[in-house]
Amino acid sequence: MKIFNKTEEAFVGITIMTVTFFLFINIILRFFFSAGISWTEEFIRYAIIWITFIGASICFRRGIHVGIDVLIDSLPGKSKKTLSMIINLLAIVFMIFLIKYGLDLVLFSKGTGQLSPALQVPMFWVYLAIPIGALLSLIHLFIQTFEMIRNFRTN
Amino acid sequence: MIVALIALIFIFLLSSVPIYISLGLAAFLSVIFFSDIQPMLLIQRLFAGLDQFALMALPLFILAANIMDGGGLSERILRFARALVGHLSGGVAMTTQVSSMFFGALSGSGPATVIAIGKIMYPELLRGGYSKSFSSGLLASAGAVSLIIPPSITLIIYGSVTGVSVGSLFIAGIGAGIIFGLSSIIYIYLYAKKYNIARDKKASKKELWETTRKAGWALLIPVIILGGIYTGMFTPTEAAGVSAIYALFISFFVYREMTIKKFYKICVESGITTAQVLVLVAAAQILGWLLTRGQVPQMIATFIAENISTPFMFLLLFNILLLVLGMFIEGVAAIIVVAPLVYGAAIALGIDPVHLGIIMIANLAIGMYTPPFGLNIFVTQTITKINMKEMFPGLVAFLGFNLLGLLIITYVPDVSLFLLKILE
Amino acid sequence: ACGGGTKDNDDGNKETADTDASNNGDSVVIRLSHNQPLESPEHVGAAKFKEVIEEKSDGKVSVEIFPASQLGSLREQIEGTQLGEINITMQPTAFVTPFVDDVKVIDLPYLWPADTEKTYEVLDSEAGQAVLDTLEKGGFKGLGFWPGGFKLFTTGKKEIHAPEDFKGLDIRVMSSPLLEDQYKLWGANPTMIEYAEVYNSLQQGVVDGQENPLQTIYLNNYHEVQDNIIESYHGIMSYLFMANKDWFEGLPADVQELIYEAEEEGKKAARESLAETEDDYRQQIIDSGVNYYELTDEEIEKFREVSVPFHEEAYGESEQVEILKQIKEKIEEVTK
Ligand code: NA
Ligand code: NA
Repeated sequence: MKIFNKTEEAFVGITIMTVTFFLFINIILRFFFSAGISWTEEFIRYAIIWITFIGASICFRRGIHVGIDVLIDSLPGKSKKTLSMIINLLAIVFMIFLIKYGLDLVLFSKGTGQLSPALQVPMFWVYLAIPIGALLSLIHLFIQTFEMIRNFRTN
Repeated sequence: MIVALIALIFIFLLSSVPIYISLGLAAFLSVIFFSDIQPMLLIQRLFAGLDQFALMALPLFILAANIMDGGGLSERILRFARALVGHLSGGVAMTTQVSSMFFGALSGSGPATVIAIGKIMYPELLRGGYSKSFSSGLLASAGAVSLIIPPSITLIIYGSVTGVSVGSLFIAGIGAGIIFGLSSIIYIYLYAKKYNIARDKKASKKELWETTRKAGWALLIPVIILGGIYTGMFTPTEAAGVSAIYALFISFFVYREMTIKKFYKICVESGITTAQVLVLVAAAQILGWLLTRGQVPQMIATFIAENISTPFMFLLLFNILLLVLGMFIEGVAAIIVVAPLVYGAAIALGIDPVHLGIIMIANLAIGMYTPPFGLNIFVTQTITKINMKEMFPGLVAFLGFNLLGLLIITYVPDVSLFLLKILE
Repeated sequence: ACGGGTKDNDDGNKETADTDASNNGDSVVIRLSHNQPLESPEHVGAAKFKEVIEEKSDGKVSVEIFPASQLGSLREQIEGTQLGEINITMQPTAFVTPFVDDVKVIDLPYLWPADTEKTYEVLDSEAGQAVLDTLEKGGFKGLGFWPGGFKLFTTGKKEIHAPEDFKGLDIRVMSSPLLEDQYKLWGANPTMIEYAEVYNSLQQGVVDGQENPLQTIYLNNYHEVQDNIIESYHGIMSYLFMANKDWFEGLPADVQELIYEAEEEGKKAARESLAETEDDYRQQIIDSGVNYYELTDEEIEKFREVSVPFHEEAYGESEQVEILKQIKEKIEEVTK
């Protein structure tokens, strides 16, 4: 599990490094050699989309997705735990939707053979970020929920 | 379907379900059970929310800000800023406000501004004796000003939808942006007076020189960004990348406060913050699309266009409509929907097309931090880590003063138009 | 793997047609999307399309128009049409190319005669129909070529009279490998910049020039930030008016007939409106004091010489050769 977490983090960190690097190279190329890499912009946009959905999974693990926490902050111990569990279950349902329909879109896009305008890579590679990110999130959510149930019993 | 959607969102949000899940799950449930829309399309919209040029600068500014933070640049800039204005009433908060306006002119993105300024200034505001609530309100509202101050992607979109001169819109945005900023500065001043926020001792010439010298390398960042953009060396996104690389270089080789390990960690944390913010943008796109598809904004706008006959009433209702829309829909999306629908009616009532654009964007800017919803609020929370209840008073106070600013912008067209008239 | 993918595609589309409530019973609602504002010739044409359909069907068939990219970016609208969410869309060929490569023939530089009417004649002929038919590969039914006008060059300091004048200039292009190659051919450095960023990039000198039809130049005020506006006749902006194929084929024959008819009339209205607005925009741009000129026939010839060999190179796959030949023959016929 530790390796799993580290890999997620490495992906996000290294991708953002790569984005910055490409952007910089492109400026150098254009400024000093009057030539640029035309697909840089598209690459950055799609890299950011991958960062977002893989990063969202890390946010689930750390429990840092932003919400309006007025209610949960004001509840007493036991009901607070119940609400947390319900929230986790709702997140699980959402992730299942993202995986199911995300894969549908990936397969549809694979079937139509659409290419990305600049990079000329099949679009389904970009769409894949959504179901894969959701699958990783789902794993974290399952682990968390099991721990909650265990704690719930022992207390 | 729309009714189910809105109801579910409210139930989820009030039950402390994270916003990403509230919006996303509500959309899926209402689409699956109450419509014949293919759920696959929601995935396309989720993707579309992020597949935007305007968002590219955001992760890079987050990274730049984190490097400045971890590499000792921010600290030196702050010491300099404090030495400069800390002795004034509300000095630290004013520094935040002014630098947000300055930065907003560069990034053109509300959330990017909140992150870049907030990361540096928030701890400093707390240390300076300002409350968490006040500081959060300050960050969220100051970041919104970036929509109005040129270069503004939102203004360009308005120009391209309506055919109004983008050059004119940019010039008009300067006056309106200053009025907005001033309304906040007045509140900062009053707040600092009332709570007797400690003022620094006026720095001696020698101290001022010392802090300037030490901060010199860091202070070059805005110069590089501004200079680079205005001389055409690079785009705003590239400016964000350059500032990250520059900050990295300085912190490695000049200040020597950066290590490879630290840098890696900063990259990871920047990626995670990016995700935390961008999932909200993506989910907001789903919601905006469902409302547009259900013709909801169109119906509201058409109603206003058909039932209002005086400019005064029109502007008043227009303000209310946009404020409400701004709560739910991100600025660019709202303009694309509303501008073509009300444009004709507004011009018929004798409202200046440039002025109309400025009013729209000023409203949407305020909508970005009007509780309970607003992108800037949630982005601010990623920095300040306080909940909505705590944040509320601060937001409302700034909202009040900015609404006064909005009234001036709305009913005194010359605030926006005088620079244009001078130039003609 | 490819076969499996295609099957999924078919299933997806069938599902769309079946579950679309608008297709059941007597009444049909057509969702039509495009990118242009309400006053544009494109919208005038779309409105005409709606009017004709609704009138002739006695309201049985109605059209909901979503203008100004309300339903998403250009790429997303095309994908939305594939998915069956949008029934009909009107999109520039350059944006359809990533979905169906064959349509890029429309964007070849110096292929078309420097004459609007003659260009329409070719597009509306069998040769044009051959291009529309290729859209079936992407799951679309191509109905017609809607007008966007000839593209013009706009530049900063440098006047353009021959291909070599482009040497070393940074020119903004849409995200399209073909347009990129076109400028490389002339010696320029093509740079892809997002539409919303073009004005700023021209103003700040990030790029030295760009290409677009008069309408786009005028409405975005590019002439405010450029020194030269050049009628170059180097290429046309053409919109593909296209439907989701399975949806279209599932319609009753009389409704299909109605769509063909309304498309004809809508297209005609759009072309007329474009001609009017172009005259108006041209005058306004000239009055703004910018340097406005047309390339002479000799200058156009110079460009054509350099560009023609590129046609086969860029559009050389088996079927494409045949389509290109057909178009060139038709051009020869109408320009005789
Ligand atoms: Na701005
Ligand atoms: Na709001």
